[in-house]
Amino acid sequence: MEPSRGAFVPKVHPATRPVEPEDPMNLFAVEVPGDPELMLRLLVEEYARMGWGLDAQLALFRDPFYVAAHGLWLHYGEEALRRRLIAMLARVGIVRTKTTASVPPSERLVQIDLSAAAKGRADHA
Amino acid sequence: MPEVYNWQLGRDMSYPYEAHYPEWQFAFVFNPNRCIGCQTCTMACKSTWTFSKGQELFWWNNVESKPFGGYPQNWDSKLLNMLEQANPGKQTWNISEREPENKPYGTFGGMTIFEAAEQRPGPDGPQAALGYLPTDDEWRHPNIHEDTAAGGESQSDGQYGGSAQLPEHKVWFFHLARICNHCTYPGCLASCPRQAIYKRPEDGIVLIDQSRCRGYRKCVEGCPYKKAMYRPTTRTSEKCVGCFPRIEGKDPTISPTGAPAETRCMAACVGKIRLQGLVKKNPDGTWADDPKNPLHYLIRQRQVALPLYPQFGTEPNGYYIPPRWVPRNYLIQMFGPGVDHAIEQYSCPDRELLAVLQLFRANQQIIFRYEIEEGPKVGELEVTMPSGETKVQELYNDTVLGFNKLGEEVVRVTIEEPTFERPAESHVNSI
Repeated sequence: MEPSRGAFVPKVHPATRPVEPEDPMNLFAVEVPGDPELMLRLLVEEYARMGWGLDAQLALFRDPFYVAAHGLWLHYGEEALRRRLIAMLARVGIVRTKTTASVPPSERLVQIDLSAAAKGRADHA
Repeated sequence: MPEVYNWQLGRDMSYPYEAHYPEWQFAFVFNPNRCIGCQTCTMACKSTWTFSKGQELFWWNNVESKPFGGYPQNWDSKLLNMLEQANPGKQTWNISEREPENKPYGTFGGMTIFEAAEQRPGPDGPQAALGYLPTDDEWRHPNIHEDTAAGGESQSDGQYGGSAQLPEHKVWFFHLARICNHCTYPGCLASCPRQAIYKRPEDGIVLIDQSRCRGYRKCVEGCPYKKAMYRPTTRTSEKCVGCFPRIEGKDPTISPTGAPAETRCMAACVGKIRLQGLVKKNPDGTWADDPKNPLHYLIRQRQVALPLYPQFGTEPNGYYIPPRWVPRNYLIQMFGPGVDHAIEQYSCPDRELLAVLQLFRANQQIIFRYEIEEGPKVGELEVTMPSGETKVQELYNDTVLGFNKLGEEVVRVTIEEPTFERPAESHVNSI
């Protein structure tokens, strides 16, 4: 049977639907003013204190999984961000540390005899 | 209602039970300045404790991005709003009354969740702690509405994903890692009508006795941090157990000599934002003077790390180094009036503070004491102060040593000479 023309509602992709104010699952955010330049400077400084150089930091900023860093990447763009990072790292320096753990290895760790296991498999075959 | 002393508020407050304090207290310091939101801690906890049926919505450890993220959604803004309604315009601090020992942040003049609850009588009398029961939807989506840098295809209007409508929002946010704070005056414990929740006298970890719990969810309602959760399959509530077998030194691989080890979420942190420990308490609940304990040093001596929403009144034992780029009013609401001092200290750490900060995630065993072996000066660094101005920090080739509860050295971290990466194109003739 032919569907009624009057009842037809064209499908709209969910991502392109307009936001509905009464939808309880929608976020209506309040702007809290902030300074992305300060955030970038301080993040770069923090990561530099952890021993991260330009390549490591750029990789982090590029990755969409790390939303804070990637938000800045989206805000500035690759080239502008790269220029900023180079300039900042030249000033703040990279601090590395050398860590030596002195916990003795557990006595429970045992070496598995792989040759015996292989021999067992061969016998089984 | 009995009166107990809350040093974070700088005053006595009412609490349903008489004060009893543990010998040691589970405590931790998180540094959101360094958190990249990788959720490794979240998964370490999930895969250890909450992978079973009925625990699908349990995230005892979660990392939310502020200001918009929250698990459950809007947990903090909802409770702050309830407190404001209970005591309009009076949720304020008096910072002129600061005393280093008893009132390091001044005096809180507003109402705690226990005091505000007395104003909200229900059918069975007033609540023990002001709170609310989050809806299933609020628990269900731990990351929904978080600040999203790339939530999907960019639309023509600049929105991502279609689930959020944001105003012109300049980029600033930070990752807030959260676990149970194992509070000194827990809201969950105060709220339980069955007295099924208790605080262990040996380490202050707050646990729910599953044999007594009847699943009334009063703890879910009364915990201001929303870290008690209801499990429908067992009809009981559950919460973070502080990885107590590790705290007891029962893991033979990590603690071959039986010394306490850090929890799973702490030990898994790849960003080295976490330092966990046990702090010695006096019988009257005050912190014992233990100047070489790294937590005592960071929290009580230097006051670099601050409690999360101290105004709730539970005296939480989780502390945070405030993220430096976040608007100051927002931070003061979240961490109290000690924010300015903490950021000032952290921005340009002196020799000892810089050394202690290297102990974050240096070893899986809990560090009870540190020592510093001093080395020569190896460089100067430019650091950004809260005002945006820059300052020069001196760097020394110091080594910080960490010792476990048995006095055994477990780690040493040496600060090395800084290196500078200079762009080749601007230094064509340099060597």
